[in-house]
Amino acid sequence: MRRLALPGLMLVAFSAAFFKAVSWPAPAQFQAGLQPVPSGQAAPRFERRFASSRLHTQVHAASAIALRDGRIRAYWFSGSREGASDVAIHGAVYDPTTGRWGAEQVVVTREQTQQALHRYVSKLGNPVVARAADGSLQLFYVTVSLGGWAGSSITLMTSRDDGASWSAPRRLVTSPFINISTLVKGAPVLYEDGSMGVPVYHEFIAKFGELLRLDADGRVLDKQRLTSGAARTLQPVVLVKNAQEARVLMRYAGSEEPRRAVAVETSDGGRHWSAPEKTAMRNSNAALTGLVMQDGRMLTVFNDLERGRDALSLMMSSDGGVHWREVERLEDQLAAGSQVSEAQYRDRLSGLLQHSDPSIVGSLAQYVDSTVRTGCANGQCRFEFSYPYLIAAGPDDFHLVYTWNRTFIKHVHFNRAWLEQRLEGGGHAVSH
Amino acid sequence: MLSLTDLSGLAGISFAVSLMLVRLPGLREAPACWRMGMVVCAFAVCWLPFGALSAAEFVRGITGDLSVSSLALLLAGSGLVKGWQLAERARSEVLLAIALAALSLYPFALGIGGSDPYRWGYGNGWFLGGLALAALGAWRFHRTLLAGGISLAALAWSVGWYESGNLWDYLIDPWGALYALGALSGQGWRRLRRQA
Repeated sequence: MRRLALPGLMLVAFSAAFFKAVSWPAPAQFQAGLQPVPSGQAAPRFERRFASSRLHTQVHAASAIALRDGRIRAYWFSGSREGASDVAIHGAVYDPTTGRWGAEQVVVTREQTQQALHRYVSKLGNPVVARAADGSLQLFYVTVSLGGWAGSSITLMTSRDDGASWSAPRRLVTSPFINISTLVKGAPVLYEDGSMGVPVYHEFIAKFGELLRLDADGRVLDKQRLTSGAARTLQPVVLVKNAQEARVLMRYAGSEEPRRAVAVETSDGGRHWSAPEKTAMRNSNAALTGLVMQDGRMLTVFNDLERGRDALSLMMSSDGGVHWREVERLEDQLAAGSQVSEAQYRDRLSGLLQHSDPSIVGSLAQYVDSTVRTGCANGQCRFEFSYPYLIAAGPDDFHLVYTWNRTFIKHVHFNRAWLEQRLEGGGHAVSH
Repeated sequence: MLSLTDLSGLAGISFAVSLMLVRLPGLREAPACWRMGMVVCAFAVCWLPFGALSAAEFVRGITGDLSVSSLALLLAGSGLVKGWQLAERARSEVLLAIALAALSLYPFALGIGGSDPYRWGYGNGWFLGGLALAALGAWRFHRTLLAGGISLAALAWSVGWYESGNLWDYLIDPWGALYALGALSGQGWRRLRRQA
């Protein structure tokens, strides 16, 4: 009997394993095209305001999603400083009919995550929200148990009521080395079979972009490397052109000049990707964002610089992401220089803050103080506009959120009519 | 509420901590029944909350879930199970298998080259076939622990024993790999010194 035990175990084990393997979902093509939401906006619309409302705190890495009722939910991380143990995932809701953001709320804390995952968690970051094929919302965020951000892994929560409440967090295992160094930033995409592609990146020892594929229950089905470690790419942004074709833009974290965003392409639904190539888009080792409009044109927002993050541009491409034309310089503090004195910083901030959100005029001094607290050290201050995240809330409506000097999450709402108006007016002469 | 995968992950960590405890100098010479009792007590203590987390939860945050090979090696090395003590040669073979698997996975998973072998662990039939052949070969040549370890890992993966859906995570983990590489290096060094 004992002699049969091992062969018996082997038979049962590998029969079960092969059964699981043959049941594994086959690769699928991209689900292309937006879900159109009727829009009543015909006149050009361009509005700005702050999505976050807490003062004297640091914020970063926002993402956003269009809700079924037309409102917008945004998420970001907020705390005393990036990587602190008090950092939590915060969120707020924007109502386009009133043009206002609701009160900022805590969505999940480090302690709640730790308790739910039954493991030690030292910090949180990078929330990315997406809508799954079944209509539920998936909130991915990064957790670290050991070390810095290179020690990250991805945690997932699900909401079936458009973000009003969330399931308990659960971990995605995506790496063999203590499950570290998978982070999330770019907007997920859907495949035709209902699975989800989540752009992620690795930054322990080597840096490279990857694409996870999750099933409808959030289980990891596959993980594809988009570039080798030598390419030093991060934070992929997937721009799906049609069911077979997509272009991925990635942040360049290397030191080779010229510093440009890196792109790979697929023409078989993501089964294979081209060799990475540097694009014409300048990249100062900063995150970028983008989407494909229903007419096939692409929009992207990024720091069009080789150094620093003190300017942010909205760009459009009409040739599948090869050449880009600036539509609007959303932020521009290049004239201030990379380091300014606190006095100069305060001077500039008053105007910048009011321009960013006229509704804060009654609390302007507090907003200035908050920004100085975050943006200055040892009497020197710098401007930073970073980590943009762009979504479409229908074929004609676009929402952008980004980090504004690490102090506030800024929201820009514009529509197609405004885009066309800018393009007709020539926009800025800069083009790539 | 603990999910089944949390239960299995924490149980594995508690088991490993308990088994390592009875290998400590002074304890490893104790009678087997005493050591078994210590394992049971240590296992239970690992689940007790100390502040926000239990010891097992804290350790799990650092180490992740342990692979079948690490747990099997720990059990074989504990001397607690009659007939489960590995002869030196068999132990070296198991360590070599773990080391080779680790060298074929980790450097590439961490970014060397454009190909990621970790991807094979997501239901790749060829990888599974290769493992089945390896297990068959190990059984054919009476390498029981190796054949049993590979099979148990495949079985655990097929039933979703841990939160990971990747077969590699059931086969090896960095801690077992580090131990294997260290132990083999030590053996090689001692052999060189003897020859010298």
